[in-house]
Amino acid sequence: MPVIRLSLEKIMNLTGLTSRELEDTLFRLKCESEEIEPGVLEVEVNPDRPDMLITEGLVRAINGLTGKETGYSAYSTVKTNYSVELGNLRTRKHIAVGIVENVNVDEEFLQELIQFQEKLHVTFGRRRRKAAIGFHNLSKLPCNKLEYTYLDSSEVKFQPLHGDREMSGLEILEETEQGKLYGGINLEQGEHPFLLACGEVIAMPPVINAEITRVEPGTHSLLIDVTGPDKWTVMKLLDIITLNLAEREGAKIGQVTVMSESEEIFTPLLEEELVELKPDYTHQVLDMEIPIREQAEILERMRYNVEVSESKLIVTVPPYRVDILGEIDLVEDIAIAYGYDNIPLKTTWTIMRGGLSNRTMFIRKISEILIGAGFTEIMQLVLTGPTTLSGKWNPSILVEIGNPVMVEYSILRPSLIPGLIRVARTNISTSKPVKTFEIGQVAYKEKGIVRESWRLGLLYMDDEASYEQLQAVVYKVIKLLGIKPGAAESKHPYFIEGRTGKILANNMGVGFLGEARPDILLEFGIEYPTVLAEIDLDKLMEAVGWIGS
Amino acid sequence: MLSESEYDLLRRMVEKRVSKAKLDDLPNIIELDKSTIASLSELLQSKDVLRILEKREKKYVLTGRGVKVLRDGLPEENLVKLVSQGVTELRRIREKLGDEAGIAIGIARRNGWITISGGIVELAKPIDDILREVEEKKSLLREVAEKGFGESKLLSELIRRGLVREEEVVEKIILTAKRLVQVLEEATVEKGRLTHQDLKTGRWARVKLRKYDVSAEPPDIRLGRRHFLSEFLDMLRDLMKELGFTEAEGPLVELELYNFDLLFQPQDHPAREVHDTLWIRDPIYGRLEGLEDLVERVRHVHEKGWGYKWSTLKASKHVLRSQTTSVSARVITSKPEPPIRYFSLGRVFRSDVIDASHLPEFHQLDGIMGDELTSFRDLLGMLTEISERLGFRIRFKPGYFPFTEPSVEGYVKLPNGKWLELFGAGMFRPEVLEMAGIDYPVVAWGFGVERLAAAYYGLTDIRMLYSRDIDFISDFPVRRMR
Repeated sequence: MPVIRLSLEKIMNLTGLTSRELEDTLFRLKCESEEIEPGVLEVEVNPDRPDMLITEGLVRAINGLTGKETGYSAYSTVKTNYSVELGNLRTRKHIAVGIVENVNVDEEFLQELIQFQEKLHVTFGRRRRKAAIGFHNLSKLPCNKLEYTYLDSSEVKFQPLHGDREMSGLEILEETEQGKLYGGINLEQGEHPFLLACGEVIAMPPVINAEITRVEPGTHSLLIDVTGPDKWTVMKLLDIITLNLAEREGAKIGQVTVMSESEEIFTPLLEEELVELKPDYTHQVLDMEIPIREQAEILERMRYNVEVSESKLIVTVPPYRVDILGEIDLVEDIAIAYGYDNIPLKTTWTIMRGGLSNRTMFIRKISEILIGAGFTEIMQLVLTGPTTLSGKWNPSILVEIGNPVMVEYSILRPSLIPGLIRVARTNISTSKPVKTFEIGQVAYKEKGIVRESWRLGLLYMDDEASYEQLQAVVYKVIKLLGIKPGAAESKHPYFIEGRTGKILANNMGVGFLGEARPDILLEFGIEYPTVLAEIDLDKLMEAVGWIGS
Repeated sequence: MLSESEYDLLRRMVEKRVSKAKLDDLPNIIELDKSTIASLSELLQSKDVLRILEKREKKYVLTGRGVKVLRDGLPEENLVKLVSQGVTELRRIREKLGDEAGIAIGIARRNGWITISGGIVELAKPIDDILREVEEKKSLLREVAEKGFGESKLLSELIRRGLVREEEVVEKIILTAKRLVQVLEEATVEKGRLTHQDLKTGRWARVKLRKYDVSAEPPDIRLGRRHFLSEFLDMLRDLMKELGFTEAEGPLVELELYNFDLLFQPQDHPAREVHDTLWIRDPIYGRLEGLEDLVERVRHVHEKGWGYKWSTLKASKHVLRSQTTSVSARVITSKPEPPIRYFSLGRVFRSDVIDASHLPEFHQLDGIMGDELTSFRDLLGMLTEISERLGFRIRFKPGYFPFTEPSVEGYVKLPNGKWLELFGAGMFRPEVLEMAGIDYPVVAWGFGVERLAAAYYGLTDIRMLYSRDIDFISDFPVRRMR
């Protein structure tokens, strides 16, 4: 979740709240906050509210909830004589450009603006792939005629932001840090998107802006460009940015004409959406009777404009609210403003029988028997790796993870036996005998299809340990389940030949039992004889007839 | 008063009818080892039951050199044998005999066996006569070795030469001081432990049990134990059952369809990117056969709600489930008749580096409840009920999850006073219900088990829940659950 740092004093001034009240109010707005150093408030904002990633937006929401300001105020907007012409565009084909006058950037606000831009890039912009933002000092713009087009990156030259010399687009992609990070997103056959003003490059989205329009303390007015492959995201992002900057004292939004072959639009669009909410729907979801007038009043505190018609609420959704898909989202806002703590809890329910799965009940019985036999349960992860499997498994049956974080957690265990060998290794120095069992899932591939099964693994390690000692336990478990145990001579890669049995339950093969091979024991540094068994619990349940509900 | 072992010794002597015997002979007769007999005899002598007589006598034994000489021959013997074989030069004889040459020459000359002139040694007597004298000494050595004495005047010479040593030996003779049969009949026996035989034969009445140090530390033992995490999981299952929930299951290797798409997470959602979710190398895709209706509903809702082109292929991709909500998704797509209450408890996987508070794999509990009139109040009430049954106070915070609205996070207060973000919860969005094909509201919640379990057991490192140390698990303190 995105985390932003803001000036505590500034927010307290703008909201009139104490720091304690502020923390509580933010909590109700889905935000966790903490004063991490004197005067600095760190706020964790939920990703569905990109409009709250800057002081102005946060304060707008807080002041609504506290009732200081309500509704969606009309922002002062003018159409300007700035325009953008769309040229030859490939995948990153959408652009929105807007102006906010009288933003009055100072040192502190510049920092916050950069933070806002970065957090929007990471969340809403999906690391600039879905949308990227450029801020420009309006007064430094070479002229008011802009062009957005793909150009040969090796031919276009400009001085990149914070750069010390003029470079070609290609050089920027190859040599600068920004270029290496974001250059791959839109480079197509040597062509890259550029934003120009009267032929002069002011941005190379989504990589970097030009030095010429750099925003500095003292900058009065901003021109903002947003580009991306998805029109809705691009338009919404410009709405969010301009409507937040317009919250600043005296600021004014200026719309820019975006001209393509087919149409001419004015951005930011700032289109308000109307959503109808039936008060009964709120009653149904919350199981609470909130009168229609009160619902309207609450929604206004959440900064919507509301018109009450006879039986429904007509709600104007501000353009910066990208999380409102339908009336259910309005109901949540009503619940939030009402306060989750004020909603009466339901405490009684119809009796329902409830029940545990057959598997859970079966596992409990098996565990009980084994504990009676002196075995201690061990729990390990399903994720395993090459050290544990030690090259003894056919790679074609292993279910491997394509993007593991660590190689030792890169494969789903195909069996409980390798993990039990690790358990034996861990316990070589403790008193003997060591008797453990593990119940858990394994996964493997069979004819290319992933199979999962539940297994029981048993380990018996002592100065002298023989097949029979563990066989006795296995037989007892099967007998107690009311069926006939048995064993047939078999082979297993971990067990000594001639001392390996296939375990039978009512003549059906359910697993293997054997004395571990000395070379395998010594490979793991285990100098004690060890007997192991593994039983397929799904098959055992089937043999017992413990299936179905 | 007799100890158990004293009683045993006397019983054996009676059985073998021994009233007098050498200590050296007794082990063979009564089948006890000599040191046990010796120490018990001393004790029984002090109780006036036995007497020990000591007989001292002189004895001769071979020294180490004596043993060697008997094996390799006397030095003077070896000398004359060499000479008789034609080795007559003194220089060569010294070479052959080494250190023994001086002694051998001295003795042979004193005995008048050899003469030396000009570095040449010659026998002064016939070799057979000399060997007869040699044999006399050697047979004496053998006699000493076997019997411990010898009468010949030659003995003093052998002692002087350091081949034989004089020793004083004490021979112990054990004899009875009382009628043992009577002693046994009248004895009170002090014992360490009471036996089956004591009770069966009535001997217990004459047995005095030795006093124990009852406060002495007993030996430590290892018990078979259920793993404490396993107990915790079962406690949670029982809790859910008590509240009328039925347990459901789903696979670990899951389709993105159930893990994400049915939960209304757009296909480009950050949670679906490689750095958050683990995918399977092969087979990359699973099968959607038989799910055609569901797939169409999912496509329709995604394209309508998010406005993008939904990919069936992406939905069929295999992932390791990142949340047990995938099981809840499977449950609702089976369109169960309301009212429904289901829970699932299973492992989920995350792209996390392992450390004291993160595991790449952990358990999650997920619950859903739905009926015609199920509301947000049911959800808040049920979360409170669950928390209180676990012994926690709960606090609600509005939250955000793509698949629920309204959404809520439940924080619980731990014994250490800290608030732990436990529940993620909400009402399934109308879009989720539409995809599943059901027409009644469903509330859902989930939480990760390991962090709660670690806090519950007072463990500061979550990895300790998966320790392979059997003693750690077997000796883990019992906790009262709930």
